Amino acid sequence: MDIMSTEVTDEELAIRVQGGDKAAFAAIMERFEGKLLRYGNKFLAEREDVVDIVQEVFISVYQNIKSFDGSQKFSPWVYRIAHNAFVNGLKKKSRNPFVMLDFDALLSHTVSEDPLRALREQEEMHKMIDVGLDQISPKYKEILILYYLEELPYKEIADILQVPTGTVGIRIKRAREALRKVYEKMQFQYGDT
Amino acid sequence: MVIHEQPPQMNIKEKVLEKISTNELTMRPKSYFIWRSVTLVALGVSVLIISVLICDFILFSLRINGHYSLLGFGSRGLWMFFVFFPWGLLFLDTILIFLLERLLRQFKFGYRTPVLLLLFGLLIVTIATGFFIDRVTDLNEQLSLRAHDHQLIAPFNDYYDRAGHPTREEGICRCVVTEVHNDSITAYDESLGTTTVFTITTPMDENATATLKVGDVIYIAGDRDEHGFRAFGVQKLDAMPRR
Repeated sequence: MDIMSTEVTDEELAIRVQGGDKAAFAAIMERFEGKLLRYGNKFLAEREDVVDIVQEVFISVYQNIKSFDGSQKFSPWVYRIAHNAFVNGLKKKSRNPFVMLDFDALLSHTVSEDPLRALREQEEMHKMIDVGLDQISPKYKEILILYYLEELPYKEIADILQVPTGTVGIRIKRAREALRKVYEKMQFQYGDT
Repeated sequence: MVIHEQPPQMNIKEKVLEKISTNELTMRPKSYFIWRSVTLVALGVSVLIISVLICDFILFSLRINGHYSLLGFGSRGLWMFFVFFPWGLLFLDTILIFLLERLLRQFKFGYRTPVLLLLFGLLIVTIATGFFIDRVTDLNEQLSLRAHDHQLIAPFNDYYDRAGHPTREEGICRCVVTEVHNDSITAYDESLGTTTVFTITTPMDENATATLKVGDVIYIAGDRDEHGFRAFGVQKLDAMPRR
């Protein structure tokens, strides 16, 4: 089977890389470059920084590929490495972008995932994200990128951010509210001028 | 002239593949990750064991000194309990529990559990296991005996040996009854290793001495005065630590 074929799953490619197949790693990079660049561009303003970090992410993925468990999904594993790399990149650029104590993760939250609602809100959220994403805190910014732009389910986001699934739900809700406030404020300002 | 910008994706992929082909970039072997996991687990287990032993020692020192008795001696007793409580060890244990929580977050079950729930669970496990070791096993008594003979390593010798030696100057005494009178008792402090005998008055309750007999081990809290030791609380203890 052609490894560039979409029939070959990410997990199958990762297992091939573990066995020493370099072409399979090239295929993995093909699949994830665009996604990671988009993810990084939303995080960091400097495009050159993003390109460097994405390269570091692939280097790290290759170095650590033997720690990947083939029975798990590959995508959250890659995004977890990318998350750490971009957060470190952001720390270099600004002071304390992520707080040590995460109040959202302290308690258990029962928030159910609603894909239909996400679908209904998709267009509106994309519009708001384009306009107001840079105005909200990195913690909320990232979760909106993962949920609305990368379209990952709660469980995978929970594995990427290493927080309980309920925390993902509550953080998306708070991020949406924060973004809506910023968006309405900006609309009001533009409406005045 | 049209300038075609080279897509950055190509650069990234080519650079990484070049590093792989020149062996500048290699995969870490599976054994590296196995050892890392084993080290992490071993570190977590070690921290848990130390945390449990510290908790066990706190409970043991309160029990062996009879400080639990202070909880039944009214507001002054509560205040003295607060003063005598080994806060330094509790602080150290708290830090270890937070460290353990951080370590557990490296594992899926750890980060999928809300922080407070995980901390609360660790606290319960530590206290329950410490309580079990203190009350069900004789580990502390054995260690105490060894500490008395200086057979433990330096800090533990001091900790265990000091645990059973409260001083009268602190307003408390763990003594052995030598004489019982209506409103006073005579006892001597064994932990000081002297034959000094002092009198204790118990003005708060005339029946406080009624159940006592010669040879009983008692825990007393009070103030020293020119007549002896004016107690505001007396409690019979189970036994002295075995020496």
